[in-house]
Amino acid sequence: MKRTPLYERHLNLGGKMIEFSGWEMPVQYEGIISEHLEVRNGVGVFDISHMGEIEITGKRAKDAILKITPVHANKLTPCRASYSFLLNENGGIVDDLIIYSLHEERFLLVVNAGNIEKDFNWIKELITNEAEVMNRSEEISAISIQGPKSGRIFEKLFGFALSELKYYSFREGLETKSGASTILVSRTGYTGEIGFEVYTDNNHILRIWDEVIELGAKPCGLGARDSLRMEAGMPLYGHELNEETTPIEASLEKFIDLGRDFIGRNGLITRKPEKRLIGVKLLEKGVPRPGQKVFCEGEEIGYITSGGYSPSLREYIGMAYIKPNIKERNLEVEIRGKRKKATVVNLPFYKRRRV
Amino acid sequence: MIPKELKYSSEHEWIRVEGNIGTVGITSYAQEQLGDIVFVELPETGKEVNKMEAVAVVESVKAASDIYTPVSGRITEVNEELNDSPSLINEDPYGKGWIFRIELRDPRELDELLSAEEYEKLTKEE
Repeated sequence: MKRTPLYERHLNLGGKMIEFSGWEMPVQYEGIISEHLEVRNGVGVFDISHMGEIEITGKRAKDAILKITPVHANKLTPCRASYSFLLNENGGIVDDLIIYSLHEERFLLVVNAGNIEKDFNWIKELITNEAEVMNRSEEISAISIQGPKSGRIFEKLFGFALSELKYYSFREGLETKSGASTILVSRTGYTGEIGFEVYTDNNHILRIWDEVIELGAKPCGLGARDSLRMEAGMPLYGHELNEETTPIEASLEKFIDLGRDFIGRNGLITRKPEKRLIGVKLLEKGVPRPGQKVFCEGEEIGYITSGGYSPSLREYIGMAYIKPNIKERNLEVEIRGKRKKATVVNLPFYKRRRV
Repeated sequence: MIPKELKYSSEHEWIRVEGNIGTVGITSYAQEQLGDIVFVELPETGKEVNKMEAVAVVESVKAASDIYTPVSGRITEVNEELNDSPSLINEDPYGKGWIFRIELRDPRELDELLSAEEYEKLTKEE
Protein backbone atom coordinates (compact mmCIF):
# COMPACT_ATOMS: atom_id res chain seq x y z
CA MET A 1 0.00 0.00 0.00
CA LYS A 2 1.16 3.49 -0.78
CA ARG A 3 1.60 6.14 1.90
CA THR A 4 1.54 9.92 1.62
CA PRO A 5 4.33 12.05 3.16
CA LEU A 6 1.86 12.83 5.99
CA TYR A 7 1.52 9.19 7.08
CA GLU A 8 3.47 9.62 10.34
CA ARG A 9 1.48 12.76 11.14
CA HIS A 10 -1.75 10.80 10.83
CA LEU A 11 -0.49 8.13 13.22
CA ASN A 12 0.66 10.73 15.75
CA LEU A 13 -2.74 12.41 15.60
CA GLY A 14 -4.46 9.10 16.35
CA GLY A 15 -5.62 8.47 12.79
CA LYS A 16 -7.34 5.16 12.13
CA MET A 17 -5.75 3.97 8.91
CA ILE A 18 -7.60 2.08 6.19
CA GLU A 19 -6.93 1.02 2.61
CA PHE A 20 -8.39 3.40 0.04
CA SER A 21 -7.68 3.00 -3.70
CA GLY A 22 -4.34 1.37 -2.89
CA TRP A 23 -3.38 4.02 -0.30
CA GLU A 24 -3.13 3.81 3.46
CA MET A 25 -5.24 6.79 4.54
CA PRO A 26 -6.89 7.98 7.76
CA VAL A 27 -10.63 7.21 7.79
CA GLN A 28 -10.99 9.20 11.04
CA TYR A 29 -9.08 10.59 14.02
CA GLU A 30 -11.53 11.31 16.86
CA GLY A 31 -14.70 10.30 15.07
CA ILE A 32 -16.39 10.79 11.73
CA ILE A 33 -19.39 12.73 13.02
CA SER A 34 -17.39 15.19 15.13
CA GLU A 35 -15.01 15.79 12.20
CA HIS A 36 -17.96 16.30 9.86
CA LEU A 37 -19.53 18.87 12.18
CA GLU A 38 -16.20 20.63 12.65
CA VAL A 39 -16.06 21.27 8.90
CA ARG A 40 -19.64 22.55 8.94
CA ASN A 41 -19.06 24.87 11.91
CA GLY A 42 -15.33 25.48 12.24
CA VAL A 43 -12.42 24.35 10.11
CA GLY A 44 -10.98 20.96 9.19
CA VAL A 45 -7.97 19.81 7.19
CA PHE A 46 -7.76 16.75 4.93
CA ASP A 47 -4.72 15.04 3.45
CA ILE A 48 -5.50 14.71 -0.27
CA SER A 49 -1.95 13.81 -1.34
CA HIS A 50 -3.20 10.47 -2.65
CA MET A 51 -4.90 12.23 -5.54
CA GLY A 52 -3.09 12.25 -8.86
CA GLU A 53 -1.59 15.16 -10.79
CA ILE A 54 -1.01 14.89 -14.53
CA GLU A 55 0.68 17.77 -16.32
CA ILE A 56 0.04 18.54 -19.97
CA THR A 57 2.40 20.95 -21.71
CA GLY A 58 3.22 22.14 -25.20
CA LYS A 59 2.17 24.55 -27.94
CA ARG A 60 -0.99 22.53 -28.56
CA ALA A 61 -1.72 21.65 -24.93
CA LYS A 62 -5.02 23.56 -24.95
CA ASP A 63 -6.24 21.75 -28.06
CA ALA A 64 -5.26 18.50 -26.41
CA ILE A 65 -7.36 19.35 -23.32
CA LEU A 66 -10.30 20.28 -25.55
CA LYS A 67 -9.96 16.96 -27.34
CA ILE A 68 -9.95 14.75 -24.23
CA THR A 69 -12.46 16.63 -22.06
CA PRO A 70 -15.90 18.18 -22.74
CA VAL A 71 -14.98 21.40 -20.88
CA HIS A 72 -16.28 24.78 -22.09
CA ALA A 73 -13.32 26.32 -23.94
CA ASN A 74 -13.79 29.78 -22.39
CA LYS A 75 -13.13 28.27 -18.96
CA LEU A 76 -9.56 27.39 -19.89
CA THR A 77 -8.23 30.81 -18.95
CA PRO A 78 -5.13 31.18 -16.79
CA CYS A 79 -5.67 31.01 -13.01
CA ARG A 80 -9.02 29.26 -13.38
CA ALA A 81 -9.92 25.75 -12.38
CA SER A 82 -12.65 23.74 -14.11
CA TYR A 83 -14.48 20.57 -13.15
CA SER A 84 -14.51 18.13 -16.06
CA PHE A 85 -14.25 14.51 -17.18
CA LEU A 86 -12.38 12.09 -19.34
CA LEU A 87 -14.99 10.33 -21.47
CA ASN A 88 -14.82 7.16 -23.52
CA GLU A 89 -16.29 6.92 -27.05
CA ASN A 90 -19.74 6.10 -25.62
CA GLY A 91 -19.74 9.14 -23.35
CA GLY A 92 -19.07 6.98 -20.26
CA ILE A 93 -16.94 8.56 -17.54
CA VAL A 94 -13.35 7.31 -17.44
CA ASP A 95 -12.72 9.73 -14.56
CA ASP A 96 -13.83 13.07 -13.18
CA LEU A 97 -11.13 15.65 -12.62
CA ILE A 98 -10.19 19.27 -12.10
CA ILE A 99 -8.30 21.13 -14.81
CA TYR A 100 -5.96 23.85 -13.54
CA SER A 101 -5.12 26.20 -16.43
CA LEU A 102 -1.64 27.43 -15.56
CA HIS A 103 -1.29 29.17 -18.94
CA GLU A 104 -2.17 28.52 -22.59
CA GLU A 105 0.52 25.89 -22.91
CA ARG A 106 0.47 24.28 -19.48
CA PHE A 107 -2.32 22.50 -17.61
CA LEU A 108 -2.46 20.40 -14.48
CA LEU A 109 -5.18 17.75 -14.18
CA VAL A 110 -6.04 16.53 -10.70
CA VAL A 111 -7.50 13.03 -10.89
CA ASN A 112 -8.82 10.37 -8.51
CA ALA A 113 -6.26 8.31 -6.60
CA GLY A 114 -7.63 5.01 -7.86
CA ASN A 115 -7.48 6.09 -11.50
CA ILE A 116 -4.00 7.64 -11.81
CA GLU A 117 -2.45 4.89 -13.95
CA LYS A 118 -5.58 4.39 -16.03
CA ASP A 119 -5.94 8.12 -16.72
CA PHE A 120 -2.27 8.65 -17.46
CA ASN A 121 -2.21 5.84 -20.03
CA TRP A 122 -5.55 6.97 -21.48
CA ILE A 123 -4.39 10.56 -21.94
CA LYS A 124 -0.97 9.60 -23.28
CA GLU A 125 -2.50 7.34 -25.90
CA LEU A 126 -4.85 10.06 -27.10
CA ILE A 127 -2.61 13.12 -27.24
CA THR A 128 0.91 11.84 -27.53
CA ASN A 129 1.31 13.75 -30.83
CA GLU A 130 -0.18 17.02 -29.53
CA ALA A 131 1.43 17.56 -26.14
CA GLU A 132 3.77 16.25 -23.51
CA VAL A 133 2.06 14.27 -20.74
CA MET A 134 3.77 13.89 -17.36
CA ASN A 135 2.58 12.01 -14.31
CA ARG A 136 3.61 14.22 -11.38
CA SER A 137 1.55 12.39 -8.74
CA GLU A 138 4.62 11.02 -6.94
CA GLU A 139 6.18 14.43 -6.35
CA ILE A 140 3.12 16.57 -5.57
CA SER A 141 1.25 16.48 -2.25
CA ALA A 142 -1.85 18.39 -1.24
CA ILE A 143 -4.08 19.28 1.67
CA SER A 144 -7.59 20.68 1.71
CA ILE A 145 -8.72 23.17 4.37
CA GLN A 146 -12.50 23.38 4.62
CA GLY A 147 -15.08 25.11 6.77
CA PRO A 148 -16.53 28.54 7.63
CA LYS A 149 -13.40 29.43 9.61
CA SER A 150 -10.95 28.46 6.84
CA GLY A 151 -10.62 32.12 5.79
CA ARG A 152 -8.81 32.98 9.02
CA ILE A 153 -6.24 30.29 8.40
CA PHE A 154 -5.79 31.35 4.79
CA GLU A 155 -5.16 34.94 5.82
CA LYS A 156 -2.60 33.90 8.44
CA LEU A 157 -0.82 31.66 5.95
CA PHE A 158 -0.72 33.97 2.95
CA GLY A 159 -1.36 37.48 4.26
CA PHE A 160 -4.41 38.31 2.16
CA ALA A 161 -8.13 37.56 2.31
CA LEU A 162 -9.54 34.30 0.98
CA SER A 163 -12.35 36.34 -0.58
CA GLU A 164 -9.77 37.78 -3.01
CA LEU A 165 -9.57 34.30 -4.48
CA LYS A 166 -12.76 33.53 -6.43
CA TYR A 167 -14.44 30.14 -6.26
CA TYR A 168 -12.74 27.84 -8.82
CA SER A 169 -9.70 30.03 -9.24
CA PHE A 170 -6.13 29.64 -7.97
CA ARG A 171 -2.78 31.35 -7.45
CA GLU A 172 0.59 29.90 -8.33
CA GLY A 173 3.77 30.04 -6.29
CA LEU A 174 2.49 31.60 -3.06
CA GLU A 175 4.70 31.30 0.00
CA THR A 176 3.39 30.74 3.50
CA LYS A 177 4.39 33.07 6.35
CA SER A 178 6.86 30.45 7.55
CA GLY A 179 8.52 30.37 4.14
CA ALA A 180 7.13 27.10 2.80
CA SER A 181 6.59 27.31 -0.93
CA THR A 182 3.50 26.09 -2.74
CA ILE A 183 2.83 25.01 -6.31
CA LEU A 184 -0.72 26.28 -6.34
CA VAL A 185 -3.40 27.35 -3.91
CA SER A 186 -6.96 26.98 -5.14
CA ARG A 187 -10.58 27.24 -4.07
CA THR A 188 -12.49 24.22 -5.27
CA GLY A 189 -13.52 22.03 -2.35
CA TYR A 190 -15.57 18.90 -1.97
CA THR A 191 -17.60 19.60 1.15
CA GLY A 192 -20.07 22.37 0.29
CA GLU A 193 -18.20 24.77 2.60
CA ILE A 194 -15.84 27.65 1.97
CA GLY A 195 -12.31 26.36 1.76
CA PHE A 196 -9.06 26.07 -0.15
CA GLU A 197 -6.47 23.53 -1.25
CA VAL A 198 -2.71 23.78 -1.14
CA TYR A 199 -0.62 21.79 -3.64
CA THR A 200 3.10 21.63 -3.03
CA ASP A 201 6.04 19.29 -3.34
CA ASN A 202 6.44 16.44 -0.86
CA ASN A 203 9.08 18.10 1.30
CA HIS A 204 7.06 21.27 1.97
CA ILE A 205 3.75 19.59 2.79
CA LEU A 206 4.72 18.62 6.35
CA ARG A 207 5.50 22.20 7.28
CA ILE A 208 2.27 23.53 5.81
CA TRP A 209 0.21 20.76 7.45
CA ASP A 210 1.81 21.58 10.82
CA GLU A 211 1.14 25.29 10.33
CA VAL A 212 -2.49 24.64 9.53
CA ILE A 213 -2.96 22.35 12.55
CA GLU A 214 -1.24 24.94 14.74
CA LEU A 215 -3.63 27.58 13.46
CA GLY A 216 -6.52 25.50 14.75
CA ALA A 217 -7.68 23.28 11.89
CA LYS A 218 -8.92 19.90 13.09
CA PRO A 219 -7.55 16.91 11.17
CA CYS A 220 -10.35 15.11 9.31
CA GLY A 221 -10.36 11.72 7.63
CA LEU A 222 -11.90 10.13 4.59
CA GLY A 223 -15.06 9.19 6.50
CA ALA A 224 -16.05 12.80 7.07
CA ARG A 225 -14.93 13.69 3.56
CA ASP A 226 -17.41 11.15 2.23
CA SER A 227 -20.37 12.23 4.39
CA LEU A 228 -19.66 15.91 3.64
CA ARG A 229 -19.53 15.43 -0.13
CA MET A 230 -22.71 13.37 0.01
CA GLU A 231 -24.61 16.10 1.88
CA ALA A 232 -23.29 18.56 -0.71
CA GLY A 233 -24.70 16.30 -3.47
CA MET A 234 -21.30 15.81 -5.03
CA PRO A 235 -20.59 12.59 -6.93
CA LEU A 236 -17.77 10.17 -6.16
CA TYR A 237 -16.03 8.08 -8.79
CA GLY A 238 -16.89 4.41 -8.31
CA HIS A 239 -20.21 5.30 -6.69
CA GLU A 240 -22.17 7.79 -8.84
CA LEU A 241 -19.66 7.87 -11.71
CA ASN A 242 -18.14 5.04 -13.76
CA GLU A 243 -17.42 4.05 -17.36
CA GLU A 244 -21.03 2.91 -17.93
CA THR A 245 -22.46 6.25 -16.79
CA THR A 246 -22.59 9.53 -18.70
CA PRO A 247 -22.37 13.02 -17.16
CA ILE A 248 -25.91 13.62 -18.42
CA GLU A 249 -27.21 10.67 -16.40
CA ALA A 250 -25.30 12.02 -13.40
CA SER A 251 -27.04 15.42 -13.81
CA LEU A 252 -23.74 17.09 -14.64
CA GLU A 253 -24.59 18.36 -18.14
CA LYS A 254 -23.76 21.94 -17.21
CA PHE A 255 -20.08 20.97 -17.31
CA ILE A 256 -20.31 19.80 -20.92
CA ASP A 257 -19.98 21.89 -24.08
CA LEU A 258 -21.97 19.92 -26.63
CA GLY A 259 -21.44 22.79 -29.12
CA ARG A 260 -17.97 21.55 -30.06
CA ASP A 261 -16.29 18.25 -30.79
CA PHE A 262 -14.54 16.16 -28.13
CA ILE A 263 -13.99 12.47 -27.45
CA GLY A 264 -17.28 11.01 -26.28
CA ARG A 265 -19.53 13.66 -27.80
CA ASN A 266 -21.08 11.30 -30.36
CA GLY A 267 -21.81 8.82 -27.62
CA LEU A 268 -23.50 11.51 -25.53
CA ILE A 269 -25.64 12.71 -28.43
CA THR A 270 -26.75 9.32 -29.70
CA ARG A 271 -27.20 7.58 -26.36
CA LYS A 272 -30.54 7.70 -24.63
CA PRO A 273 -30.10 8.28 -20.88
CA GLU A 274 -30.97 5.06 -19.07
CA LYS A 275 -31.02 6.52 -15.58
CA ARG A 276 -31.15 9.71 -13.61
CA LEU A 277 -29.40 10.64 -10.37
CA ILE A 278 -31.61 11.69 -7.46
CA GLY A 279 -31.31 12.41 -3.77
CA VAL A 280 -33.38 10.30 -1.38
CA LYS A 281 -34.30 10.87 2.22
CA LEU A 282 -35.70 8.05 4.33
CA LEU A 283 -39.02 8.71 6.05
CA GLU A 284 -38.44 5.77 8.40
CA LYS A 285 -35.29 4.92 10.33
CA GLY A 286 -32.71 2.92 8.41
CA VAL A 287 -29.42 3.47 6.67
CA PRO A 288 -29.28 3.50 2.86
CA ARG A 289 -26.15 1.78 1.52
CA PRO A 290 -24.72 1.43 -1.99
CA GLY A 291 -26.36 -1.37 -3.97
CA GLN A 292 -29.70 -1.42 -2.15
CA LYS A 293 -32.72 -1.56 -4.48
CA VAL A 294 -35.14 1.32 -4.89
CA PHE A 295 -38.84 0.64 -5.52
CA CYS A 296 -41.76 2.77 -6.65
CA GLU A 297 -45.33 1.47 -6.34
CA GLY A 298 -44.00 -2.08 -6.02
CA GLU A 299 -41.76 -1.89 -9.08
CA GLU A 300 -37.97 -1.96 -8.86
CA ILE A 301 -36.76 1.31 -10.43
CA GLY A 302 -33.14 1.70 -9.41
CA TYR A 303 -30.43 1.43 -6.78
CA ILE A 304 -28.58 3.43 -4.13
CA THR A 305 -25.07 4.63 -5.08
CA SER A 306 -24.07 6.37 -1.82
CA GLY A 307 -25.87 6.46 1.49
CA GLY A 308 -25.60 7.02 5.17
CA TYR A 309 -26.44 9.23 8.07
CA SER A 310 -26.34 12.98 7.57
CA PRO A 311 -24.84 14.53 10.71
CA SER A 312 -25.83 18.07 9.68
CA LEU A 313 -29.48 17.26 8.93
CA ARG A 314 -29.81 14.32 11.34
CA GLU A 315 -31.51 12.36 8.59
CA TYR A 316 -30.75 9.15 6.71
CA ILE A 317 -29.94 10.10 3.13
CA GLY A 318 -28.59 8.65 -0.06
CA MET A 319 -28.05 9.18 -3.75
CA ALA A 320 -29.63 6.80 -6.23
CA TYR A 321 -30.00 6.11 -9.90
CA ILE A 322 -33.59 5.54 -11.00
CA LYS A 323 -35.30 5.11 -14.37
CA PRO A 324 -35.39 8.52 -16.09
CA ASN A 325 -39.17 8.58 -16.59
CA ILE A 326 -40.15 8.19 -12.92
CA LYS A 327 -41.78 11.38 -11.64
CA GLU A 328 -43.31 9.97 -8.45
CA ARG A 329 -41.52 11.30 -5.36
CA ASN A 330 -42.62 8.61 -2.92
CA LEU A 331 -40.24 5.66 -3.10
CA GLU A 332 -39.07 2.74 -1.02
CA VAL A 333 -35.54 1.56 -0.29
CA GLU A 334 -35.07 -2.13 0.44
CA ILE A 335 -32.81 -2.55 3.47
CA ARG A 336 -32.11 -6.14 4.55
CA GLY A 337 -35.34 -7.39 3.00
CA LYS A 338 -37.54 -4.63 4.46
CA ARG A 339 -38.87 -1.83 2.29
CA LYS A 340 -38.54 1.52 4.01
CA LYS A 341 -40.47 4.60 2.94
CA ALA A 342 -38.39 7.32 1.32
CA THR A 343 -38.89 10.48 -0.65
CA VAL A 344 -37.03 12.16 -3.51
CA VAL A 345 -35.25 15.36 -2.44
CA ASN A 346 -33.46 17.91 -4.56
CA LEU A 347 -29.68 17.87 -4.44
CA PRO A 348 -27.74 19.20 -2.61
CA PHE A 349 -29.14 17.96 0.70
CA TYR A 350 -27.18 20.62 2.51
CA LYS A 351 -26.61 24.25 1.48
CA ARG A 352 -24.23 26.52 3.33
CA ARG A 353 -25.85 29.52 5.01
CA ARG A 354 -24.83 32.51 2.91
CA VAL A 355 -23.71 35.27 5.25
CA MET B 1 -11.77 -1.37 30.86
CA ILE B 2 -13.40 -4.82 30.54
CA PRO B 3 -15.92 -5.39 33.36
CA LYS B 4 -14.97 -8.46 35.35
CA GLU B 5 -18.53 -9.54 36.26
CA LEU B 6 -19.69 -10.06 32.65
CA LYS B 7 -19.39 -12.96 30.22
CA TYR B 8 -18.25 -12.38 26.63
CA SER B 9 -18.65 -13.94 23.20
CA SER B 10 -15.93 -14.17 20.57
CA GLU B 11 -18.20 -11.93 18.45
CA HIS B 12 -17.75 -9.07 20.96
CA GLU B 13 -21.09 -9.27 22.77
CA TRP B 14 -21.30 -9.10 26.57
CA ILE B 15 -24.00 -10.57 28.80
CA ARG B 16 -24.90 -9.68 32.39
CA VAL B 17 -27.05 -12.35 34.06
CA GLU B 18 -29.47 -11.60 36.89
CA GLY B 19 -31.63 -14.59 37.88
CA ASN B 20 -32.86 -16.07 34.64
CA ILE B 21 -32.54 -12.88 32.58
CA GLY B 22 -29.49 -11.84 30.59
CA THR B 23 -28.85 -8.27 29.42
CA VAL B 24 -26.83 -8.13 26.22
CA GLY B 25 -24.78 -5.41 24.51
CA ILE B 26 -21.56 -4.98 22.57
CA THR B 27 -18.17 -4.42 24.16
CA SER B 28 -16.28 -1.15 24.32
CA TYR B 29 -13.70 -2.68 22.00
CA ALA B 30 -16.44 -3.45 19.46
CA GLN B 31 -17.96 0.04 19.54
CA GLU B 32 -14.51 1.53 19.09
CA GLN B 33 -13.88 -0.70 16.07
CA LEU B 34 -17.23 0.29 14.56
CA GLY B 35 -16.89 4.03 15.11
CA ASP B 36 -19.89 6.37 15.39
CA ILE B 37 -23.09 4.32 15.61
CA VAL B 38 -26.01 5.91 13.76
CA PHE B 39 -28.76 3.27 13.78
CA VAL B 40 -29.70 0.10 15.66
CA GLU B 41 -32.18 -2.42 14.33
CA LEU B 42 -33.57 -4.00 17.49
CA PRO B 43 -34.93 -7.54 17.74
CA GLU B 44 -38.66 -8.24 18.31
CA THR B 45 -39.73 -8.90 21.88
CA GLY B 46 -41.18 -12.34 22.44
CA LYS B 47 -39.03 -13.90 19.75
CA GLU B 48 -37.39 -17.26 20.46
CA VAL B 49 -33.76 -17.23 19.37
CA ASN B 50 -30.88 -19.70 19.36
CA LYS B 51 -27.35 -19.14 20.57
CA MET B 52 -25.18 -17.29 18.00
CA GLU B 53 -28.18 -16.34 15.87
CA ALA B 54 -28.04 -12.84 14.35
CA VAL B 55 -30.79 -10.96 16.21
CA ALA B 56 -29.96 -7.26 15.80
CA VAL B 57 -27.97 -4.97 13.51
CA VAL B 58 -25.77 -2.08 14.54
CA GLU B 59 -25.02 0.42 11.77
CA SER B 60 -22.02 2.69 12.08
CA VAL B 61 -21.25 5.53 9.68
CA LYS B 62 -19.27 3.15 7.48
CA ALA B 63 -20.93 -0.29 7.78
CA ALA B 64 -23.64 -2.56 9.14
CA SER B 65 -22.74 -5.31 11.63
CA ASP B 66 -24.84 -8.21 12.87
CA ILE B 67 -25.24 -8.70 16.60
CA TYR B 68 -25.40 -12.36 17.69
CA THR B 69 -27.13 -13.52 20.83
CA PRO B 70 -24.59 -15.23 23.11
CA VAL B 71 -27.30 -17.51 24.57
CA SER B 72 -30.56 -19.19 23.49
CA GLY B 73 -33.90 -18.05 24.84
CA ARG B 74 -36.76 -15.58 24.46
CA ILE B 75 -36.25 -11.84 23.90
CA THR B 76 -38.09 -10.15 26.79
CA GLU B 77 -37.15 -6.50 26.32
CA VAL B 78 -35.27 -4.19 23.93
CA ASN B 79 -33.61 -0.85 24.61
CA GLU B 80 -36.07 1.55 22.93
CA GLU B 81 -33.81 4.50 23.79
CA LEU B 82 -31.44 3.37 21.05
CA ASN B 83 -34.08 4.31 18.46
CA ASP B 84 -33.46 7.98 19.11
CA SER B 85 -29.96 7.80 20.60
CA PRO B 86 -27.98 5.01 18.94
CA SER B 87 -24.78 6.74 20.07
CA LEU B 88 -25.48 5.51 23.63
CA ILE B 89 -23.62 2.38 22.52
CA ASN B 90 -20.51 4.51 21.88
CA GLU B 91 -20.93 6.55 25.04
CA ASP B 92 -21.86 3.82 27.53
CA PRO B 93 -21.52 0.36 25.96
CA TYR B 94 -21.86 -1.60 29.25
CA GLY B 95 -24.63 0.61 30.69
CA LYS B 96 -27.17 2.76 28.85
CA GLY B 97 -26.06 1.22 25.56
CA TRP B 98 -27.47 -2.26 26.32
CA ILE B 99 -29.37 -3.73 23.36
CA PHE B 100 -31.77 -6.47 24.53
CA ARG B 101 -32.77 -8.70 27.44
CA ILE B 102 -33.26 -12.42 27.07
CA GLU B 103 -34.80 -15.16 29.21
CA LEU B 104 -32.23 -17.93 29.28
CA ARG B 105 -33.35 -21.33 27.93
CA ASP B 106 -30.27 -23.17 29.17
CA PRO B 107 -28.01 -21.45 31.74
CA ARG B 108 -25.29 -24.05 31.01
CA GLU B 109 -24.61 -22.15 27.76
CA LEU B 110 -22.97 -19.45 29.90
CA ASP B 111 -20.09 -21.82 30.65
CA GLU B 112 -19.13 -21.77 26.98
CA LEU B 113 -18.66 -17.99 27.00
CA LEU B 114 -15.42 -16.13 27.72
CA SER B 115 -14.36 -14.58 31.01
CA ALA B 116 -13.13 -10.98 31.08
CA GLU B 117 -9.50 -12.21 31.01
CA GLU B 118 -10.12 -14.54 28.09
CA TYR B 119 -11.93 -11.82 26.19
CA GLU B 120 -9.15 -9.32 26.82
CA LYS B 121 -6.66 -11.82 25.41
CA LEU B 122 -8.83 -12.23 22.32
CA THR B 123 -8.91 -8.50 21.60
CA LYS B 124 -5.12 -8.29 22.01
CA GLU B 125 -4.73 -10.98 19.35
CA GLU B 126 -6.98 -9.23 16.81
